[in-house]
Amino acid sequence: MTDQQTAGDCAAMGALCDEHARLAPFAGTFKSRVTMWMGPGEPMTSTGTMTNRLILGGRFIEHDYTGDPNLGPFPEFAGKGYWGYNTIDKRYEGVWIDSAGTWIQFEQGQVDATGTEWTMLGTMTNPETGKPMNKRSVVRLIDNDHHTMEMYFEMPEGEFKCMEIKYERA
Amino acid sequence: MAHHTNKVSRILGIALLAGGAFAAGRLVLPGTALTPNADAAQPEHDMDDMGGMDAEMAAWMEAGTPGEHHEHLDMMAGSWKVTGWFQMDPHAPKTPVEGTDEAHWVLDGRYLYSEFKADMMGMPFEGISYMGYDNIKGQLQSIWMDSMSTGIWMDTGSMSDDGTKMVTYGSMTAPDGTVVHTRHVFTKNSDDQYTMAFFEAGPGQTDMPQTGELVYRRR
Repeated sequence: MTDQQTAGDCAAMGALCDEHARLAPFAGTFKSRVTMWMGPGEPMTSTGTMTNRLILGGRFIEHDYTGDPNLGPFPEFAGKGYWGYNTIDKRYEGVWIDSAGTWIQFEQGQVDATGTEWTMLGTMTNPETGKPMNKRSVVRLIDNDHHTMEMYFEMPEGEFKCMEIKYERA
Repeated sequence: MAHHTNKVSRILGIALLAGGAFAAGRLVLPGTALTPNADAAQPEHDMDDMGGMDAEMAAWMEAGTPGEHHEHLDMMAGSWKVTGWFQMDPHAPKTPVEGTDEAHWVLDGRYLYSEFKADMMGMPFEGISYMGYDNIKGQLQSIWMDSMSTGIWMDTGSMSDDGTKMVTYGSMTAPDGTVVHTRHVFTKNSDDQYTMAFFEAGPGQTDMPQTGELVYRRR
């Protein structure tokens, strides 16, 4: 059950508004095809299942990812995340945790005028310099059964596309 | 034949693994070996060989593995009866809170997930949180979401060497647009009890008055 309110009530702490409704098509179970570029050369590919559900009265999408067993350094990869719209700061917010690290990643961003393309911004520590490295994730809603996520890192030599995930409703 | 590794690409790849994806194979890329940054988390760069991971990748794998700080967080795992109070400011009356907390480890012992349920001013209230320790930054981290607000609140802090006291700091925007700074102090009272104290400061405030306290008793 969701607590839907009119747009005018969105200023009230905790109330839901149109921005939360935009998250609804992401709910469900999706087959995931992951492509990762680590540098020049062929990218690495993998698959998994992403289960998303609306929680806390429709305020957040909860992501639950299980990678299919693979021969890489993380044969049983899993991750969890949350995605919502902060009505006070007026921005989408996301967090991500997974079995490959011990850190919590935070991102914040906006959706475009079409309401189908989100740009989420965050940082990751550049191990070479110890300084934060800008990270940009672009989520595109194709239709109710398909969406994609592309991730880019800002490197000294320019932006570098490091990952792309294609999601298809199972 | 030995393979040189492009350090930035390799590290980028490993950072990516913690950034929401994973590799399907061993990370061996052409390039030049660079002088490593002097960082406690990274040992001297070794040349990759035909056999196993080099010391650098091993260090990254270790950074991704739960350690002693995660053992200290275990003090909050389990089923709890929670009682306490909140107040909007030092002159306001204390609002009593009573509820439960269920906490268990997820992602192979890396993060402590908990679900908090309580009655707040006669209305049902639900919150979820994750506590973790970032081995690379050497930082205690937490996130919180609840049924009465729409933000994802991320706080960071530290813990004492013996793990009996933990502190996290954060900030949030109040509905009127002002920024509120928060401090949460977790104190282990015994194996079956811990206390969480809440402190808040608004703009222009030089101290942080206590705005709440919750006592968790194992049930």
